[in-house]
Amino acid sequence: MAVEKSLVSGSMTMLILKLLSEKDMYGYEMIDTLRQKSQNVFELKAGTLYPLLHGLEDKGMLRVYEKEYAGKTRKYYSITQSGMNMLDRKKEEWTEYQDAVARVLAMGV
Amino acid sequence: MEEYLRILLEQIRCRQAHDAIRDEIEEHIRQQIADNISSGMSRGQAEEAAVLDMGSPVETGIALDRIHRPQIAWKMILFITVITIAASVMHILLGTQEYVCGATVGLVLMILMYRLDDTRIAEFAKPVAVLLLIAVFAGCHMGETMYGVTQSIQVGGIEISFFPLMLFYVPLYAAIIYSYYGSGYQGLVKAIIWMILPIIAALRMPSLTLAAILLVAQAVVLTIAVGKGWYHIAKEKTLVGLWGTVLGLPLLGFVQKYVMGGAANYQVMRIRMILTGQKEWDYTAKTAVDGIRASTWIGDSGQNLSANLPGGESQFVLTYLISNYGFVAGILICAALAFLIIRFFMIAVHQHNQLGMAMGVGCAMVIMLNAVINIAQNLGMIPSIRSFLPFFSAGNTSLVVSYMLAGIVLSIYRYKNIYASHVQLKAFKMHLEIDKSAS
Repeated sequence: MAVEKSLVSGSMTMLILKLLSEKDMYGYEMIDTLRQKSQNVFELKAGTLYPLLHGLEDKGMLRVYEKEYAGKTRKYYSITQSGMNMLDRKKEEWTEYQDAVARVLAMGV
Repeated sequence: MEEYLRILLEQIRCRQAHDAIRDEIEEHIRQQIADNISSGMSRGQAEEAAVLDMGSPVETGIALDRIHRPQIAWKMILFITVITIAASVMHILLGTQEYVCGATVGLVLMILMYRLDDTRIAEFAKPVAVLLLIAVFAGCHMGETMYGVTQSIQVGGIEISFFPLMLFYVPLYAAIIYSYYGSGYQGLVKAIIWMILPIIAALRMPSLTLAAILLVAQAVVLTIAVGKGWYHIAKEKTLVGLWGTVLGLPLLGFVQKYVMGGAANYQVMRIRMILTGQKEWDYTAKTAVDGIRASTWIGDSGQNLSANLPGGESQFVLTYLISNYGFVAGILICAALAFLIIRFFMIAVHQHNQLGMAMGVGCAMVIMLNAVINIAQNLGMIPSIRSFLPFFSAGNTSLVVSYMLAGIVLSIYRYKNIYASHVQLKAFKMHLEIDKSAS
């Protein structure tokens, strides 16, 4: 089921960091993995992903390296310790948010 | 796809960032096209769908433009300017007006270097390095000497000192060996040859100090090059070999000169003094140490050192300033330099772009080695040798070189968000082929 855009964009940083905390990936791989894991709920556009990745790399949350693949060079992203710290923070925020929403929705009438 | 890329790149004002971004995004689109084709679309449809999937090129371009921008190292420039002003004031009060002129020129050149892209500097590295070498070798024949050591050369009425001038070779060295990226052991051999040339020049002057500084600084740069896999060779073996030689050479020289009597008298005396722990090297060093011992915490200690201490405004500027302004001044100066050097190293090491990293570390090494040697000399820990305190010593060439090295480091910082790990350098007059298949 497609979900409202604003709900998605806020947590995108957290999701990308989570993906990279498990494995180093390059851009296309991230979009693909995200789509699969979310069962097609998250269709992240590349145009949104790359500025996000470059921004995170600039802030030191990610590290970049290049690897050869089939004669072409691919840019791989890997998470740094600051990135892991940020991921933990975002996960906490998300859990708080989740609980709050759940509590409000559970308000009986 | 080309249209998409064109519009996207148009939004990114900083030209130099285009290549890396284009490569990454183009690669992405190509992969999407391939996937589309394998799920049944025609070539044309696949490309259209892939580009559509990317979203708005304008939005993406603007977002990327915000990130890939030259960083202005405001704080560093401010700090260096403050140091310059403070040092200028101190020098003027002490009567050495020459400092101001050299420092101003230096500061201007620093800003110029800073605005220059470090890869452009790298493109001219080889010809400039060759010029430097020719200048020194020629200087050994035609230049001015002092105590039998080639010191400087007069160019249009301006005296250019070789010692600081040659130090500029180090960042150029980084750029030169970068051009051998991917060429295996051949590249390594060429890198070593380029490293040895200035050392030979230094030994011809002769200046053992310069040779030592060049050797260590270049060895560090080469270590980075090898360690980062520029040459695709066995790293550990090469590095062990390199540092074994760097550390072993002085040992060999020591053995040859001292044990086997190949040294001049003064050199033997010095070594004997080191070995017996004697602290008073020679007249100048003694004067310097006494000067410091007699200084006070703050304020003029009343000694009129300028009369007794030659080189007070250049080599022994630290002692001079301590004697006239107190220990506090000396400590502040050392602290300021230490801070500067540490910042330079940090900027260089955090560089994504490896050419920038190598050049930056080279510059920082040179400044650090000179500062350490000069401070040790002022404190009487080593005999009087040719050295200068970067940014503080009043010698035109040493000032200009200090500022230019700083300018290179700042330029590296400025472009840190812009280049990928590797850049294709357009070699001066030649076309470079970085051989990627040599993995």
